[in-house]
Amino acid sequence: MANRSAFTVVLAVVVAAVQVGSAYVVLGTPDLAAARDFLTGTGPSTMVGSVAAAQLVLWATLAVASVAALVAGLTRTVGAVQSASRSAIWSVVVVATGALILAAGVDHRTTAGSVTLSGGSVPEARAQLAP
Amino acid sequence: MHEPPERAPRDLRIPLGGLSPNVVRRPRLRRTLRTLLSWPMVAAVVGIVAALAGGLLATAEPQIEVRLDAAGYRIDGEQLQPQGSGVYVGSGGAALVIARRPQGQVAGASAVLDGRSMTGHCEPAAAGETCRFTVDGAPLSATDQRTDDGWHRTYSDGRTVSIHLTGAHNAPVPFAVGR
Repeated sequence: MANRSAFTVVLAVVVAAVQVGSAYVVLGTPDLAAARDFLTGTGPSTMVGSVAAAQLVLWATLAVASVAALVAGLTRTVGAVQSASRSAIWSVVVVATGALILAAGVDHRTTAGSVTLSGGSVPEARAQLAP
Repeated sequence: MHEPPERAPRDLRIPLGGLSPNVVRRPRLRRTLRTLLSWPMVAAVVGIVAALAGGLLATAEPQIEVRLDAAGYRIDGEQLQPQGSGVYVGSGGAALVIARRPQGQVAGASAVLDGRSMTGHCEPAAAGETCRFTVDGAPLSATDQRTDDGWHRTYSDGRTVSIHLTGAHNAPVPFAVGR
């Protein structure tokens, strides 16, 4: 029983670590200042601000999910009776977190490989020719 | 006082229906398999694999197609029409200027790229070309190394992108693509 509990604790920690690490690779660190400007500022919204706000929301979701999964994974080993509901919650949260990271990765891959151009001006482009 | 009759010891057995009365322990392998195939384990594997796949996709090097010929300058699905004197302009206003200099081709660009305002400059270097950009006001640089089919670009933040050229084999790409 002790071995099984230790195994469950290690499993919960490993899963949380892998998912947080993958999320860091996919999402990067959020630009908190840009996200704050986007969420609370009165000026016009910028692409940087909206991306930073989206990153912040995703990070918050992942943080809550990882903590919930970790708590569910760890606490079910403490009680004498294994809680089936906690196992189910942990399983769902772990799968949902993985799916969220995968979706962000797919989106990142799709947007990085595509180009959308608008705006710009010839004088500004010509000005870039200077060394 | 009437004492209850002393009961003779009886052998009370639970009928096992032909099963062995000995303790049966599950084989270790079966217990291990049962643990591995439990829902939490399956969920852990699915969650880890999905997260790693997401990370792999995010770090995989994107590839961008660029074509420069008489019809104009085409980058991915965006066409910039030739205006003469090395000037190319897209339908949305994105502009590219290519000039010939003693050291080779120099290019400048101005556009809103994937929603971010951007200017770019590329000039020849020893192993290919070097580029510098301003993306939403932030500076960024890149080195383009020549490959068999175009450029392999490495940005100053470590990100890379493969640029596949068709048409002119030395077309400059002063756009911060693949980010």
